[in-house]
Amino acid sequence: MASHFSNLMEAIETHAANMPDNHAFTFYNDPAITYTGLIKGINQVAALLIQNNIKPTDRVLIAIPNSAQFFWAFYGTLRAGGIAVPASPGSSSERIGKLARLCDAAFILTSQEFPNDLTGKTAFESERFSPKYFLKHIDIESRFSIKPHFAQTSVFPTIQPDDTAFIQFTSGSTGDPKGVQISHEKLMINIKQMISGMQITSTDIFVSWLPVFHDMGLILMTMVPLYFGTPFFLLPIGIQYLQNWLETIAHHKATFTAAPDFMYRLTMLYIKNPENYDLSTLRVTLNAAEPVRAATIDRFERSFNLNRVMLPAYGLAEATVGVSCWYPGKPIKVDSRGHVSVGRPFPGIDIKIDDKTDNTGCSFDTPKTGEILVRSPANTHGYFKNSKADKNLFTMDHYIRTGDLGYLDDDGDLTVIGRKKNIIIQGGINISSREVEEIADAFSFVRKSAAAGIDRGKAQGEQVYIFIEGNFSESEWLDPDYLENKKIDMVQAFKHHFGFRPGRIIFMMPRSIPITMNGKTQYTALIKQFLSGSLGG
Amino acid sequence: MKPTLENLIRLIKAQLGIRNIQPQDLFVEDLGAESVDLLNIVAVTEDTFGIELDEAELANIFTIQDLYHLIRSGSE
Repeated sequence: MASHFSNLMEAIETHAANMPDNHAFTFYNDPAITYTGLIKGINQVAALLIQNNIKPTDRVLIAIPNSAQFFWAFYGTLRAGGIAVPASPGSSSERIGKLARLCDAAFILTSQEFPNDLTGKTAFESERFSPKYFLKHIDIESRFSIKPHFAQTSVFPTIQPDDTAFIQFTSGSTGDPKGVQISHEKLMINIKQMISGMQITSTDIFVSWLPVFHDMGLILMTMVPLYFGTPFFLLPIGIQYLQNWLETIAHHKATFTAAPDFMYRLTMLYIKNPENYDLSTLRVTLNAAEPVRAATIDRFERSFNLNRVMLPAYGLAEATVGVSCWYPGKPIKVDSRGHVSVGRPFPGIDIKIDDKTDNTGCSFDTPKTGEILVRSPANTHGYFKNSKADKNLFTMDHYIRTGDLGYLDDDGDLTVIGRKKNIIIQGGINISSREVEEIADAFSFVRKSAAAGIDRGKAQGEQVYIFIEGNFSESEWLDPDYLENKKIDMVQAFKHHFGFRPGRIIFMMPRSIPITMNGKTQYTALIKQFLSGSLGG
Repeated sequence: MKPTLENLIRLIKAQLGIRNIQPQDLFVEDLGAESVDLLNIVAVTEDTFGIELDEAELANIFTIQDLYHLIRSGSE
């Protein structure tokens, strides 16, 4: 039934024509949005963009939190022939400005609920960036202030399969975030790969507590149900909605949800009465976007009386999103070192291991361990205007280098064991060491900085630790108030940039951070020394 | 470092990046702390004071005072 759609806009249009009063989705406590309501919002945003002279392939940066507005903005952009670029609405105006500059955005769409200071245009001016049109809100009121005849008479451009649908920013190991370009066709391919690999059907009921501006929350948790035309339930993100997430699953008898391991760990910490939540309808509660812990699966399933429904999965933005997933109903596979298998790749996806790129410094036995390479018809055609990064991404035989390390076992199942790149995953979000260090290095008291992901096996999981070699005088080193003030400044700068706080800032004496002969930071040694307590300073 | 209230507040200020903090402040409502910030505060407290706290108690910690009492009860 659904398989003939060539893009998502076509799927939404078809659903709107065939079942106009059916619910497309429900956001939190808001009234459900019907397909008629969805297409109306989409058309109005598209009309608004066309009115403001959007050109084909113009990038539209969308910094809107989980809400109906997000979908109007996202699909409104696609409908108007633009390329959607979702960004975290919690980011600072500087970071939004930077992303807008990196993708050469023509528009920035934000919503009324936008909590930041984006309206301060000076922030963009200081970034030497001026969008052609700055749209402050898309809310219900302003939608209806759009000239109605325009919305009706707009002719929308035809979407071609090769057109880029959206750009997903992802952290690179060096410097600026990179924009992964995903075409309409590849998006449809990956949606179908995930549907087939996870045995998703139109009777599945999705409940999501993930951000829509992030690939797993956007593609798996909202696009898959939109493709089928089956209603889904979306919640605001944040720990304060943890109970709502569980209640929504129980109330709507959800069959499918997803979260990073960290969110499941938080659930176990905060929910003292799991017996009050009936999650027994869950067929899949996917665990992905950060390292999966066997203990989390065991504890979560036992707490909520579930059996073999938490499925470890693996993916990355460069392959659109989903790559592999464990099998529903089958006991998980954990190796002798505690790594959890993420199963076999989805149909049409081939994985191989490049053991020449293993630079963990460890020696491995069989099976061979190395960088995970992925070949998939849903692989990106490249980063936005970044041919240098493209060269590092693709192999000669058209695989992409994931930067993740792992192995394939005799059953053909993949196990991820670590990362090659200096990428930190805090709360499911990828952060590059370099981006953090740039913030730290801007402070005059910093001699050298190194940002590393430290996971001490506790509930918070991997966290950004910023190691600072301080240029302090002897009296400054002895003054706790002085040092505290410097840390406060740095935490504020970090939070302003990323929208959340680092795990820890550690001041150390000069020459404490281990480096190579060429002066490059040795991250593996740094992490090892810190965890063993032998780090200098 | 001694597990005094003064030292605890110093750690929390540096961890949250907030200069003005009172013992009765609520972590979430007054200081805008996320759950992960609270876990990181517990970790830095453990490392600095050389103690171990029960993560399961976390759901009962609302103010800095609450955390201080947990530290005192654990170290006695």
